[in-house]
Amino acid sequence: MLKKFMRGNRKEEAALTAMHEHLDLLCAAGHTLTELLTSNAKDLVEKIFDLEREGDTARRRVLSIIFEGAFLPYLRPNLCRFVELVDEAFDTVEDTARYYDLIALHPSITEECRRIASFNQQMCEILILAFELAVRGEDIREQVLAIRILEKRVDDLKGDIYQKIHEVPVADFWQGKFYADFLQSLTAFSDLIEDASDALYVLTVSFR
Amino acid sequence: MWRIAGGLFLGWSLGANHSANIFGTAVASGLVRFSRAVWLTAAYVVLGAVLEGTKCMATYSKLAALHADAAFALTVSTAVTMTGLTRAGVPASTSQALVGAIIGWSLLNASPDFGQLSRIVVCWLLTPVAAMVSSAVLHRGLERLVVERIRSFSARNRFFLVGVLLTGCYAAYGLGANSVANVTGVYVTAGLLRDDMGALLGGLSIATGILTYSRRVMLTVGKGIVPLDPFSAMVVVLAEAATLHLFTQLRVPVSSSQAVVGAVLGVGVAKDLKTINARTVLKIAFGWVLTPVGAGALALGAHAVMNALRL
Repeated sequence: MLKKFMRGNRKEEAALTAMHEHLDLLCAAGHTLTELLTSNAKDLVEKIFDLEREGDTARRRVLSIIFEGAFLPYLRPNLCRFVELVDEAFDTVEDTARYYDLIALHPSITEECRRIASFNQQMCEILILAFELAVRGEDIREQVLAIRILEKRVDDLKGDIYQKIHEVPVADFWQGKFYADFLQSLTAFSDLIEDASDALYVLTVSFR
Repeated sequence: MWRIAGGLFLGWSLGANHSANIFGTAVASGLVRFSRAVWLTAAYVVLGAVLEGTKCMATYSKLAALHADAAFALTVSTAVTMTGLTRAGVPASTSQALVGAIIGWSLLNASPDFGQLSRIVVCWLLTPVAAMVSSAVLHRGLERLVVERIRSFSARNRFFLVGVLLTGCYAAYGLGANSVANVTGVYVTAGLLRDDMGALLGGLSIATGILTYSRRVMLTVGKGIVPLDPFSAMVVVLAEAATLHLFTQLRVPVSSSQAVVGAVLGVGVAKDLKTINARTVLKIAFGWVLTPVGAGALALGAHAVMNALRL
């Protein structure tokens, strides 16, 4: 009976389930983006848009449950920050897909972009693992460190792309802008996932 | 019977002020709704006053013989001292003010029982010490035995939520049991009230203060204590409750504010000694000396004036 009592009330469980769902959708979007960059199947862009819409619904559900009174008040700002960062990451995946649809990726940077998308996907999977561990009250330092290492690799690849970008021919201003925006959103994802993992770590520390 | 109004007023102000020590943090942080906090506090204060409030009343009767006019003058002197010190921002204790007033009053024509006084003073000194020790022990003990074992987000969330409510109710019970003697104890000593009636009326007057005028103090004190994490805040309230209950069993009214200060220091000791601000501690200690001396001087003055006017 004590275990049942300490398991917490339905609001907290519902919020955590919705947060997990939000992360799962992000991971699915990341996986789809990797597939898109690998196979160049443009119909996957629509799938990413759909996933982003579902993600928005999950985010709204989490926030409304938290504002209805789930969790101790001092935890709520950190929880909301985590959810917002995940949602911002979701937006960058959507933007990346949208800009990719508008450009033709040059072969000189294709491999780097695919590797970045793959790292982004791995970071998502580690973030889900970190979230599951954090919810169980376990240490997530290793996962946070792994995310930081991957983010550093993405930064290195971003540097490589900027070295080669001068060789990429651009037809007009808009083509150049979409290229720049595509690269910007592709590489911003890792920063947001790193921030989300830091927010999750702060959350676990403040709950000790 | 109109003289009892002084005591009831003192009870009302005690309730309005001291309820902040119980659910202040929880209300200010949004953990417990204000209405739920005040109703729980009021109910448990009355329960504590009725069940165990009479234990501390005999202490005042042993301190000095008092008549009905004296009882009225003493409660008014205490209320004035408390108001002055509260306005000056010095943490003050109702029980210290009242004992100081009784001693000041009885210096003129009756000799106070200094043996009883020394027992009370020892208990005053021991109040923050007991709260500090119990808070440090509870903090370390509960952390190792309970908190570290409850790891999941929801379970820990639930533990803090229920813990805050339970410790708050216990603290309210302790406040009622220990503080009601401050409100109507002198009237029981003066023979104006039976002790069970004194406990009930005193408890109700404290509850009225809690229900009608505690919001502002509760939010002010609560926001001042918010930097404490929920576990430490819960331990502080539990240590305060245990200390008040302990001294109720020893039949000595002590200060809930001093118990809270001691308990906060105990959490500081358990976590890191560097967190303790020596200047603040000295300011609080200054208030502990000033309260009985100020109330005593006021009661002595009142007595001298009443004698001169042959009242």
